[in-house]
Amino acid sequence: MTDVNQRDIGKALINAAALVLVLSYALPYVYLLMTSLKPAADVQQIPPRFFPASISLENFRDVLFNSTLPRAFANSLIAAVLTTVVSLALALPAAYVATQYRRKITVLFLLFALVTRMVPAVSLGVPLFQLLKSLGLLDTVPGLVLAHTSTAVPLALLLLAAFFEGIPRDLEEAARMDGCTRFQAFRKIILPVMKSGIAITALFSFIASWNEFLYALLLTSETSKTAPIVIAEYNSVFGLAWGPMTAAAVVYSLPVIVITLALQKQIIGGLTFGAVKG
Amino acid sequence: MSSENRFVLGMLMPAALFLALLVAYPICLLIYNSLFSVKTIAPDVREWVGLANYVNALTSPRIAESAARTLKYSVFALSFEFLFGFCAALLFSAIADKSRLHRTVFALPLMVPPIVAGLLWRFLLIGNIGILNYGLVAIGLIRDPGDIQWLSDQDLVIYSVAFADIWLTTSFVALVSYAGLTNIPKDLIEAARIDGANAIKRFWHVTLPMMRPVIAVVVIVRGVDAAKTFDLIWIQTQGGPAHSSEVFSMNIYQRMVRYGDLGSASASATLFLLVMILLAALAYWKIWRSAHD
Amino acid sequence: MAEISLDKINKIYGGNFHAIHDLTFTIRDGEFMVFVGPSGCGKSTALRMIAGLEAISSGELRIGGRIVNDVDPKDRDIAMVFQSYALYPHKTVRENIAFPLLMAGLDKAEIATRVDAAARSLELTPYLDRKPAHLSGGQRQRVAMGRAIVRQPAAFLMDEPLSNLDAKLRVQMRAEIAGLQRKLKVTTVYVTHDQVEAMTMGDRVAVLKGGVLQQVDTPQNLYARPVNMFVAAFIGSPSMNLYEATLDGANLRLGGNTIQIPEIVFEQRPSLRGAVRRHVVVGIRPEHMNDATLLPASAEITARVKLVEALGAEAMVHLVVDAPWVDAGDPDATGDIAIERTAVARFSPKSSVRADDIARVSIAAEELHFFDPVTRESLW
Repeated sequence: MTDVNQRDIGKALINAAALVLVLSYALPYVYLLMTSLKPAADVQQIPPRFFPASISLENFRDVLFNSTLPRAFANSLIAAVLTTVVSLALALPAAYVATQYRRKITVLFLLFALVTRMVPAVSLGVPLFQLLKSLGLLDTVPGLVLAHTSTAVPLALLLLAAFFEGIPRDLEEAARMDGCTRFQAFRKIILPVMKSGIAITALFSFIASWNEFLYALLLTSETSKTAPIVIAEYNSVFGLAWGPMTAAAVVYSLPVIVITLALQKQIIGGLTFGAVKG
Repeated sequence: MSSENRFVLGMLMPAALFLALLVAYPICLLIYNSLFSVKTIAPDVREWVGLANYVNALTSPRIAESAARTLKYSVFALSFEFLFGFCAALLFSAIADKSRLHRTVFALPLMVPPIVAGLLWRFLLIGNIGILNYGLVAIGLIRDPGDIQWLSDQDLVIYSVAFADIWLTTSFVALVSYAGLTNIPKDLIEAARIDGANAIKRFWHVTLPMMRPVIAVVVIVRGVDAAKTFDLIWIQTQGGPAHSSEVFSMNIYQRMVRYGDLGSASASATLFLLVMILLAALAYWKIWRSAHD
Repeated sequence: MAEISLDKINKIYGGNFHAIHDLTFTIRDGEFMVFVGPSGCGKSTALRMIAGLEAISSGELRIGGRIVNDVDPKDRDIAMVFQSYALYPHKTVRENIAFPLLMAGLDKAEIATRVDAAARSLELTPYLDRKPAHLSGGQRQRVAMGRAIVRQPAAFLMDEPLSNLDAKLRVQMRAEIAGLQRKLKVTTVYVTHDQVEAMTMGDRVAVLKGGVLQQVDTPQNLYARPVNMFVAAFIGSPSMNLYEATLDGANLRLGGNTIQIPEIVFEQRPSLRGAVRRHVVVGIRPEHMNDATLLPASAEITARVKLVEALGAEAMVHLVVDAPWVDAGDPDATGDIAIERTAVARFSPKSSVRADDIARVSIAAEELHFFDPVTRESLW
């Protein structure tokens, strides 16, 4: 009798603990949401209150209509999409041969990719600034895409390599027996089988570019600055405009949250794949 | 060359060329610049100084402090991420199947851009409008909301800025650890139970050793990431107050942009790069390798 | 329909691992040829070289008379069935079977006709719209076959296609594949490690060991006239029992036993005549040994019974013969775990021998095999 009770209590405690943990974890973001919905004047009231006294969309209106955010948002979106496309186009064939046609040169190549992952953005940003300046690409979206892709390609290479490892070698051989050249086998058989792996890698590349701040800070100015820069700029010499800033932050973070939630099953698998395979 | 070799080379070339031009070449440029005294605004006007920039970097007290701060920040962040993340993973595996919802909500911070997370925590911690202190007063941990100045206290700030990082990446550690935990064959744990091991012994002798490769990877990945952090801290304090939250990456940025010293910034950046690669290689050798023996 | 000829084919990996040595023989048009041998003997490598999936280091490979060493697999007009089937997971059964025809550029109507015909002959019609993940192992195997036959190629290559099936299914599919080949009359090269498959399916069998061709012959000849100890012991299950013995005239001294060699043996193996205390290795197949009290034969020896395995239709009796036991050289053979190497004999189920008995074993002396102890080759 006592045994069952003890186990039940133990279970209840664990369940409660987990619930508390998870809720308190989400709290900060919920607070951000709440703040953005407060009337601008209430945002910085003392003492601060968690829930808005009244729901107001003026912060959002301010950010979406009276600011440079929409333009910056567009820049972020274009940069992220271009980065994803370019990094996939470069990484897919390379990751494929690195795993299915292993030899000295491919091992060296993957090692090189791994090392580039360790390069701090600031170390690369300094010379990239010079490089883009000499190419006339400073403060342009294509220039930023080049910088973002330099981070996205190694990431995509390592993720895709992990996924390609899981594909049996004889699939390509069967395709070659059935009339395909090596490249046709890659295009018609391997790539379709890799659909979910490619999707996850695309998402990670997109997020890498979307979230990127330092390169944008260094390499862009008025014309092509991205959303995170605009958000940071709410901290000006006039003080911090918390109201619009929180609204901008919410708008900026929503796309990633929505896409990620939509693909949650694949993400959790993809995360562990990438992490565990190193 | 055989058709097979031609194929491999052809598939590898685009990515290899790209990385050569956009990573290898800039790094060469970086090292090149570090050997000159040159200004950011006038990169063509340069004077050869050999290793002078490096000597300066290694002897400069401000750089040494920023390196020390980077270490404090990284160790602090990594320890707590690990502690919370691992415990969360254990908690989730204790609930087993019902943890699906928990894990999804728990993954929320992963989807938040670091800039937003930094902003968020700044808002939570800042002076008189930061709600965290009011919360602490309400639970009775402090008496007055002004008691702890998270972001203005020069001794505290380097740790306060880590809260955002911990909040952001505990999820990552938790989810990866959870995956590692669920991959441990159940019969190992059951064999231990039959052999008389209690929960703590089972954890120490079975669970933990089996988790070594996962832990190794996470430590390497997160450790290097923590040392490289820029965005998160920048948005919270810009390195202030009085440089007390300036980590190494920010110091490099300041040198290049604010002081316009391209040569000196390049030297610091090269040193940073070398240390990161060394650390990663070391960590790989010691942790990953030994876990696989 | 084509003849496949191998002429001094060699495969060397990485400059020093010599996997295939001077392989030379011809697979006739329409023949069912089986490559068999222990693991690592090179049978799969040889098959893959014929397919074009492995490069040939030296030598000439001809299919239908033309040299194909440097020809891409897709241009060799051959189809392959893989051990793991290698079905395209994202395509339905119909699309899997149709794929090679699509690549060959056939028109839709022709493709549909051929696919349906292949599906019908392999009883896959109800599954045409399923994906491989929703098929059983046996069904997947048949889809792999379908994908190969639909192309009507010059030759079929099969790499251990049955080894992933359970025993009963394997026996069934063995008959189906053999029947299919007989009907289609397509040159087929079939790789297996199972000598029972080899013996039952092949028109001819090529036995390989360590990358060297041991013998290529009909199953009957491999059984009756093996060219060396390895082939003799590899073919036939349980393996032939090999012992050192001394031949003196017509007397064969096997340990403490003496066997009279009948004249017919000397007629078949003239080199054995007039032997004076000649050291030989003698081979006795289990099916040529029996309980002398029930079924006497031309010769008899005594041996101690170690173990009796009663199988209903026969009794496998493990005997200790007091003569030096010889290793056939099969790397896959586990060998007797006990220190004393035993012989295995197939006794009548009515035999009453028990463990530790001293049994009288009848030997069909006219079926004895003789080998040179040094060269390990058969003596004729």
